[in-house]
Amino acid sequence: MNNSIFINIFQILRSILILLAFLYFGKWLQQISHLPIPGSIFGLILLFLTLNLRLIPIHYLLPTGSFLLNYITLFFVPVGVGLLQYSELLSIHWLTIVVSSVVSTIVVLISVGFIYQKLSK
Amino acid sequence: MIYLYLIATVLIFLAAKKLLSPFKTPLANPLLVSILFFIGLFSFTSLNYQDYAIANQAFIWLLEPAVVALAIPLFYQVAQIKAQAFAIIISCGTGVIIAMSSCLSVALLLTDDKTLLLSLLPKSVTSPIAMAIANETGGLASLAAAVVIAVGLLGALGGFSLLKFCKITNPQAQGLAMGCSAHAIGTAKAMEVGSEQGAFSSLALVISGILTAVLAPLFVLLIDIFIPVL
Repeated sequence: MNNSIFINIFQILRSILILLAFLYFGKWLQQISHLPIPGSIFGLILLFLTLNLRLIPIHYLLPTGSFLLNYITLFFVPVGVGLLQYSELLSIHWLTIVVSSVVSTIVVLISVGFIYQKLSK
Repeated sequence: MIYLYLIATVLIFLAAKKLLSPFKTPLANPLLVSILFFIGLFSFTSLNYQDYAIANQAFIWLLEPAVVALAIPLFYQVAQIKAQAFAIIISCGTGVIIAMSSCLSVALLLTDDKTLLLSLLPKSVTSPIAMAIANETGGLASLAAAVVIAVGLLGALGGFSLLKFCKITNPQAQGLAMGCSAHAIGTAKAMEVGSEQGAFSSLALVISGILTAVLAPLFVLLIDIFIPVL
């Protein structure tokens, strides 16, 4: 009983450490490369490659990984509320922003979906 | 006591999720409703938004490891990704070019403000990439970030309804379309719809983010042609 709690804690810590290691390695790569790609994207790519090379088994990541992915939408709430900071900029340019964003988002959604659906299989 | 705002974010989001679950309209979106709740709260009361922002930094911080964790759904779909590599690259590549050219051509009809145009250019990619591109090209990073968030919400709200309406029912096609047009916020929505959609959306988020960073300088040249430097 006690043992299984320790094993659980160990598994959770291990998954946290792996994710953080990839995140900070990614951030370091971003700093030395000066590319306009965020460290988290570098971390994602490296973790994906590592998983495919079977260097780390997927179940090592699951305790924290599934938790983060389940709640990723919640984490965007403060990002969206952050639009408040830009209310002045947004109110000056709102028409251009709304029209070009809406048109472009619709066009991209349909064209990417349509092209992929035609090309795949 | 400002950390009550952190708990408030969780409670409002979970309550919105619970209360809105019977409604099928895309506007009954827990993310949108929670954001509007807090924007209303800080606009119409004397409560201070800065306190909220400080308290909720924890969630902003958690987004980074969550983006790294998107490697998990990608890994589960690796066989499909390899099988469809060609179609994925072509559709994401076309998507990136269409995203920037359609946004620019519509915006050019409405404005000749160069800073605004440069800030709109990276609107379809995740905000850290968009801000870096805006800094690089002479746009305004904060304006770019605001546009990116708005576009992400728009895609997350209407994306799947629009795709279904246009008979785009292939889950992989839906995922790629969401990731190309609405980056991480669209990907979060795609993860809720299904793991295949989520994985392909993460993939599109990465590919379109990198391609946009590479191709944006070409579109900056186009802007320079349309609006000569004074």
